[in-house]
Amino acid sequence: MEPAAESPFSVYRGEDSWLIVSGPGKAATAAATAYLHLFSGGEMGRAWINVGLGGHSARAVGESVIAHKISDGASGTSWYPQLVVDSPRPTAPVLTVERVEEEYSLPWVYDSEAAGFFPTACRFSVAELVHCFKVVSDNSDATLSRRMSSTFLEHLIARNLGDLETFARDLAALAEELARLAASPCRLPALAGKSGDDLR
Amino acid sequence: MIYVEEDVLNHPRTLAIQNRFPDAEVVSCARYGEIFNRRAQHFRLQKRRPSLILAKKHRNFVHEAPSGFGVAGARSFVFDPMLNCIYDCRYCYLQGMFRSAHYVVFVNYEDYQWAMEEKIRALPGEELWFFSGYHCDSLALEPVTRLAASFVPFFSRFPQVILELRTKSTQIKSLLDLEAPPNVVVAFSFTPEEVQAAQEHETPSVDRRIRAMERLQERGWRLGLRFDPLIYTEDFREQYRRLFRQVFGSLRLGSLHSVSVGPFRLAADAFKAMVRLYPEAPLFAGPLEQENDYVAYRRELEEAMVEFCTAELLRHVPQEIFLPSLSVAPATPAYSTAASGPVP
Repeated sequence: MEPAAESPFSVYRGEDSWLIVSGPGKAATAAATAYLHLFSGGEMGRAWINVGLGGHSARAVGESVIAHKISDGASGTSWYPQLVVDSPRPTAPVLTVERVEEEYSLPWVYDSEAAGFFPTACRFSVAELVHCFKVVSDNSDATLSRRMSSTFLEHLIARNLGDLETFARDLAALAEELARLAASPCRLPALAGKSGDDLR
Repeated sequence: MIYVEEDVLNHPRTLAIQNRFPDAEVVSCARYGEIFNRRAQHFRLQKRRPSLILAKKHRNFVHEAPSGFGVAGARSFVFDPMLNCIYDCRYCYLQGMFRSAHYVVFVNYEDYQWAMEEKIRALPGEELWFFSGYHCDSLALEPVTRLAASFVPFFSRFPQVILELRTKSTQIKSLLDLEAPPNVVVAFSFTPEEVQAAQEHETPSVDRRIRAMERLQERGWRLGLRFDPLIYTEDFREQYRRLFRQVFGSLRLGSLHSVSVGPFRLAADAFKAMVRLYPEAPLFAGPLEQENDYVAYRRELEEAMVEFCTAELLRHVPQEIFLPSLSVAPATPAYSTAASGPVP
């Protein structure tokens, strides 16, 4: 991917995809999502994936999941991404929290972005095309992800790239189907006065 | 994926349904409206992989059919403990009635039955019909929902009231396991084979439906035939004539409770929603027209189809069991399911 912008967010452009680095936090993620939507042309109905790190009580570091439920720890609001393609990874609920958690009282993935990303991206697309792909960076045995080196965190994401690409391709195909549908000429206007002539 | 409302996580019917899908991921939610019919959802995409939602209905368990609909001279009520259908009939108003394609099952059947009993007791001496199958197919998910298995014994307590289970399904095992009450009508919808193959995706063939009816007939069930909606093709006369021969060649007149025809008619808003979802569907390129708030076949065409089918049917069945039209309610889009509470 080629750099496309550096400020206010780093944006990269690939052949048929875009990447924006939001940084942590709901507000930053919501802002980055809206920014990328406009920066990339404002087209509706595209596939969106939030790729990020999270903590989990039991899952191994490096394991990835796709969110089937996202809850905002601050407001209690929940959203439910609609998975209509094969999921290359297990699914799990994601709890977006304001501060880094080290005690995972629920068997959820704890992150800091999904609740900012999902409702924002759904303004520009449909829930079937908006998903969160989370890689476990810390668990009960290996906490304090903030102290992990960026190289290690990059490595965690890199080892999940295959599944991520598969998922992204499937969603992109779905988005193309939706675009074709939206572009299909409606036959309705041509209907009036057609057929039934054998009755006369 | 099975979504379950927190209120019914431990409901016996929830647990029984979950047991049928031991590998399904169970996701809890506060109210089914958090998932079902949300704004940013796409019915056609979701129809590729619908999930089951188990919920609790809180109010409006039974609706009276609007004036001009239902059975003439009787009070007609509609109830549906399920929303959406596993089939994919291109002409069906359920395509586009909701933004979601998920199947919602309201597991608190007993609350429906309380509400029905209240209605029945409040209207002594009146002819009452209760219809299931307006927002779903009454039997298509029977092995999962056990809807008929619960409601048929309930209605057998009220012999003066008619229950119609409308279906295209051959899931009749739970009916075969029950005694057939004389006031329960299992009504099968039919279109000719060619229409079924082209428009009624995922449904059992005409032949399989007839075989299911034969089995029910052998067990004493009263049967209904619903040629509804009538779908136009250039050779509709030959197609419907052949269909009637097929059906009446297999069913005994004595088993038939009633026979009806129904023209293809949709609220204009529902029709527009369906065309947006399936712009390529040849059905919508038929000789349709909008009159007031409805889209239907051109009037002379509709009349010709109804007249032809009526005349043909009356060659097979006596007038007494022929109900000219049996639509229970106008088909309108229900973008909010306010009947059950907070669907945003």
